[in-house]
Amino acid sequence: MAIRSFFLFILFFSSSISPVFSLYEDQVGLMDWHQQYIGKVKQAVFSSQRAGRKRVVVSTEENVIASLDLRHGEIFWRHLLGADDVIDGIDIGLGKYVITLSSGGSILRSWNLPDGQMVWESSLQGPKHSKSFLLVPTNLKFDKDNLLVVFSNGRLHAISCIDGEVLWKKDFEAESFEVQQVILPPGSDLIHVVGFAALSQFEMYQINAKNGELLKHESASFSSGFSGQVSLVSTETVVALDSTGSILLTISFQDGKISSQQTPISNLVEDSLGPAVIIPSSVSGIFAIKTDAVTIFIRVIGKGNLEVVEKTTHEIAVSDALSISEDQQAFALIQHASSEIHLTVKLAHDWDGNLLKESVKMDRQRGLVHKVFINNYIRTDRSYGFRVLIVMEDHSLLLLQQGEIVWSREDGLASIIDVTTSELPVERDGVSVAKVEHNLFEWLKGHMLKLKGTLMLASPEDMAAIQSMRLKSSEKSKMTRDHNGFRKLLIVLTRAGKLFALHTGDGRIVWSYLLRSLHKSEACQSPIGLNLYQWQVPHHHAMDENPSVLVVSRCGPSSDTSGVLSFVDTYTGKELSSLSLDHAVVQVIPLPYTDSTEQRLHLLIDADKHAHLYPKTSGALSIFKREFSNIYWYSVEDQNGIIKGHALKCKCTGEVADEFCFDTRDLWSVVFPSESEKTIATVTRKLNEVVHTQAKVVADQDVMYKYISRNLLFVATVAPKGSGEIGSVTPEESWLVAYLIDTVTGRILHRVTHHGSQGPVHAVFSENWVVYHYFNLRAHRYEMSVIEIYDQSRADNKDVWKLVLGKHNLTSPISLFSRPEVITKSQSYFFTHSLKAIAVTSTAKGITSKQLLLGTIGDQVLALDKRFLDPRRTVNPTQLEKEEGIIPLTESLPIIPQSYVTHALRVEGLRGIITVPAKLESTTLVFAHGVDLFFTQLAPSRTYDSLTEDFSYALLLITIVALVAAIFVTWRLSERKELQEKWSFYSAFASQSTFSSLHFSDN
Amino acid sequence: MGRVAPHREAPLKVPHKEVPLKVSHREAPMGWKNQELCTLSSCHQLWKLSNLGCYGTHRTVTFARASLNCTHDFIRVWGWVHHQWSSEDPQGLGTKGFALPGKTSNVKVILNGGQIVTYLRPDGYFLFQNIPAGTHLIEVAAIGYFFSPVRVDVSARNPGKVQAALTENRRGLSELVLEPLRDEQYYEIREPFSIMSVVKSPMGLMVGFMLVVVFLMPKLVENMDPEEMRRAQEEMRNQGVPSLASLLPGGGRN
Repeated sequence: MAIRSFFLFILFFSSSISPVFSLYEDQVGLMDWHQQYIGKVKQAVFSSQRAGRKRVVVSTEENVIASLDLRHGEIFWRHLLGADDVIDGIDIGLGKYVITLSSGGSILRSWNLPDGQMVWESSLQGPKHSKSFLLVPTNLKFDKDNLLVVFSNGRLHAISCIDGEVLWKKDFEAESFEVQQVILPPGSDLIHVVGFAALSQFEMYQINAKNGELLKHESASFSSGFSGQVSLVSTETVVALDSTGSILLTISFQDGKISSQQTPISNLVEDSLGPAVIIPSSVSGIFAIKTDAVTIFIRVIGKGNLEVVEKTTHEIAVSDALSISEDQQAFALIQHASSEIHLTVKLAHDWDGNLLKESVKMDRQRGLVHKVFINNYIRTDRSYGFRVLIVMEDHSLLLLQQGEIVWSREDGLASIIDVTTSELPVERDGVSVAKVEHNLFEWLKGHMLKLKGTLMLASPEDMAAIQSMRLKSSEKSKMTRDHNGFRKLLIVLTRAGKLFALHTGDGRIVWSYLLRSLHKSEACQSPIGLNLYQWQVPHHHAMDENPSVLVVSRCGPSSDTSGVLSFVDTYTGKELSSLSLDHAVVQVIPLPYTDSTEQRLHLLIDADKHAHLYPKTSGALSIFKREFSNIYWYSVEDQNGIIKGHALKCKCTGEVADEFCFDTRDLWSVVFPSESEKTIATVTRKLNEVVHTQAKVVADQDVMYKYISRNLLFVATVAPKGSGEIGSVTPEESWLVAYLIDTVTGRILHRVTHHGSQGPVHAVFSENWVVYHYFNLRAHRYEMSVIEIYDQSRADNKDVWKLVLGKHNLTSPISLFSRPEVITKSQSYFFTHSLKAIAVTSTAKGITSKQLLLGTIGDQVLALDKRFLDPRRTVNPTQLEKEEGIIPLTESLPIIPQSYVTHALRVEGLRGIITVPAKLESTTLVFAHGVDLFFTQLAPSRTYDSLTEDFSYALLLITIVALVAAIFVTWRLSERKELQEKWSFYSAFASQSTFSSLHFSDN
Repeated sequence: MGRVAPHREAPLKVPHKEVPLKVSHREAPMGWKNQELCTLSSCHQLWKLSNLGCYGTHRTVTFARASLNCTHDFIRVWGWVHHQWSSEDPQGLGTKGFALPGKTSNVKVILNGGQIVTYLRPDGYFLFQNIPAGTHLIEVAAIGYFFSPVRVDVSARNPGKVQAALTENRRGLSELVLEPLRDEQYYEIREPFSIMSVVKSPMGLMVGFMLVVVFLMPKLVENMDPEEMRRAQEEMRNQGVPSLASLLPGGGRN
């Protein structure tokens, strides 16, 4: 009975907190932070409006178009286009519309420059795939309407700038014609389209811009052929390279006549250089070619006479031309010199004179300058000033003006590849203790203010003071470890190969490091970062050591290129060492063992299925040898639909004796029939997940044992036809199969088929359950299913004695032939939204109930209690089940707006959600990343183990004072009462005794 | 975009420049051959079926000539998002310091879980081009509003025929006008100060309990039968349980 009432109590509490995560509006920013990024800038266009705020419109590699404030670098507005909608070009039309060409030149959109509202959208089709160009001529008018000229998909379009209507179009249907440039000579109504045909033919089309009429078509053949791009040196001259890359062809097509001149590069430069490429630029009269080591600037004089103006071995970046007056063009040039960059602005026709020459100190961690965009302004003395926007190797964006960095944006953080966390240093004597609570009076005053706030007595000024006080609380951004484990470092690896450490308190960058091992080099052509692992996590005896992370990267996109390891200290952000491996890295397996210096053992599997042990120390080797027969792993071959289990065999039998290299053997393999199943998702449990209890007490005092194994793998396969987009198959020809596979024995523990369902599948595995999200074609809704797996072999162990002495799953032999006694329970529910990511909260001890974190298509993160995904839910739960907290079964999962973790914010382009346990059991840290970053703390069962942030100490004090006062008052009262009682007792006694004596006398 | 949606009788207002050439049903019967639709005159035309549109304008027509087949290469699903944005929202969303971003420029319309993402025009229209025949899903992502996904069936046999239904409540749509099912309030509303909230708080309960003990207990004791009371007192005396008064300082003196 006592237990039942306890359950009732729990139920009372749990039912009263159904939207567990909920936030008041004034609590925004207390525990969470949100950062907005745009990604690496591809193209930038400066808004030339004289009045109003200065803006720059950029398009990025993350498919973002954004309008930035030129003074501070803040985002005015931003749009993230779809993943396949890659931006080909942007420009500003009529001074108030941003025009974007995307999806390989097939979608043209116009956006309102001040507020980012889309104005129109046009679809441009064409006969074949081609390069695409977007040109916004300033002088081409058509019935008071400005024209846009777009070349895409083998077709030239003239489009109205006001409403996006196609005014005329012209096909270039010749099979082999490859467009290279579309030229609009200023002051004429002509459009020149130049390109190559059949590898050695140069073609020039002259088109009337008013109506798309073909005026002229000339062609000339060049026996030596062409390679790469062409550079436009004037409106009637282009420069191209022949197919060997050693002869420059200067082709001019003045008045529709093609004439050309060939100049071998060796004539211009004495020493032979090897094949060159043309760097595309739009500066008139000058072009640049680049060989492996040298960049050469060449000037075109008159009709095809070439002259070298500069030859440099420095890394160099050139901007496009900026016309500053009728006949003058300026361009910017940036050269690197150790810790500085030199910016020069030159006039196009005058190479030797510099309009501007500045040197700017540049953080080495930003790497090289990748792109330069130039803009001018008129100074107060009516001379020209120049500002340049530069894009660095680490994808950051900086504005330089007057020799200084005006602002910078860390846009590398828009493309995070992997995330891990690191503890902060322990607070020592040297580190000062919190300075917030410097004096008791201030502290009390603060709390009095808060109390006023909760009692709704505060004035607006007070409210503002409270808000700023809460947000400022420097406690949360201190650089030391805290008692609750809320303060940590988030170590993130970005696509640019840069590591950042972000403080969880306020999201600031503590350090950043551009990995030197990820620089391009002879041996490593296109290095890419892959993963981050915790390499050294010191606790106990190695407290003085700094923790470090392992960055695994690879020299090329294919998995058989050799790998690179780097080890980075997470406190200082310095690279401790780096290793260029002589083998590939296909798989990295962090082992649950550490050596004497607390370095974690990692097993790297290469392309030839050899296992390599790191760190390469004898201590690690001896630990590894002890556990040699206990190491199993699996691999998934997506193309063949095979999942294989592996174990170690013996030392490498190669020609080189390497005691850290091991041969492996295949233990088992699961082959999915390729004609009916295609693997689309595999998920395992997180390695560091903690499970508090294996037993689960169900309503009728029964015990169920969770089947908890680290070696469970969830695999989802779909019919090969159904692996495409939604709507590409009918329900009859599509199915989805979910498997639970033991990765040590290869046994399939559970298999379930969802007929008429389709991917994409998003799944998360935790404890003994897996939740997955997929599309149900019959109902045409998304569905989420849960599978829970229980150990049946221990089901008889009902009481304590049996639990201690009874059957144990450790004693059963592990073999493919022993059938584990498991039962599974599953249930499916409808869910409204598409998902982009799914995660589950994790806490320090695993006691706190779990919440699923769903990254929805709207780029929000929704917290959903795991109790909603409980296979034991029934439509009418019995009284016992209700007491246990089972929610009546509903067809679909509820979406409670208050349980959006991201509240009214969007994590634009959401890609991943990471949860990290805090030290406080009730709390978990959540980090969601995409183009934006978002961080918050979650308490899935409320903070039952600590006072909440808005706990009012003043109210507590007042209560205590009131209680003490009450005690004294009541003591006085009781004393008085006692005295009175005594008097009345005596008087009553006296009167009674007289009364009784009278009574007796009566008798 | 501050205006409240226009009247319901004209939600299919055709976007500018695509002024329909009146094609009556006599001229364009149900069995109208799609090739005819494609090769018809170059002027704008609109073919409506049960108010759900697939359009052929002169832009798409020329394209169709190139591909010689317009069955589903150029089907456009277009619709209109009905919105009541915050500036005129009677509930006053976003009137407090933290404005909910409620502009049409932040509304995305997503086809098939991200296959195509498009934005709204100022008048609330959206358009998906080149949709193959089949069953598709349109979702609207707008902060502050809950939109049900919409199932859209683009018929393969009957080009231009499009059917739509909300997946949340399985309601069919006669016209592709998407309306939010409800507003989404992401924040808890702070309850105004009330005595009850103080009483319900742990400290309120503590104080309440004390008050009960202090003021109600003596009453209870008073209401007891004096005989019983005396017996109880005697028992207490026998057991030597100290009374409350004797516990308090100075209570010892009787």
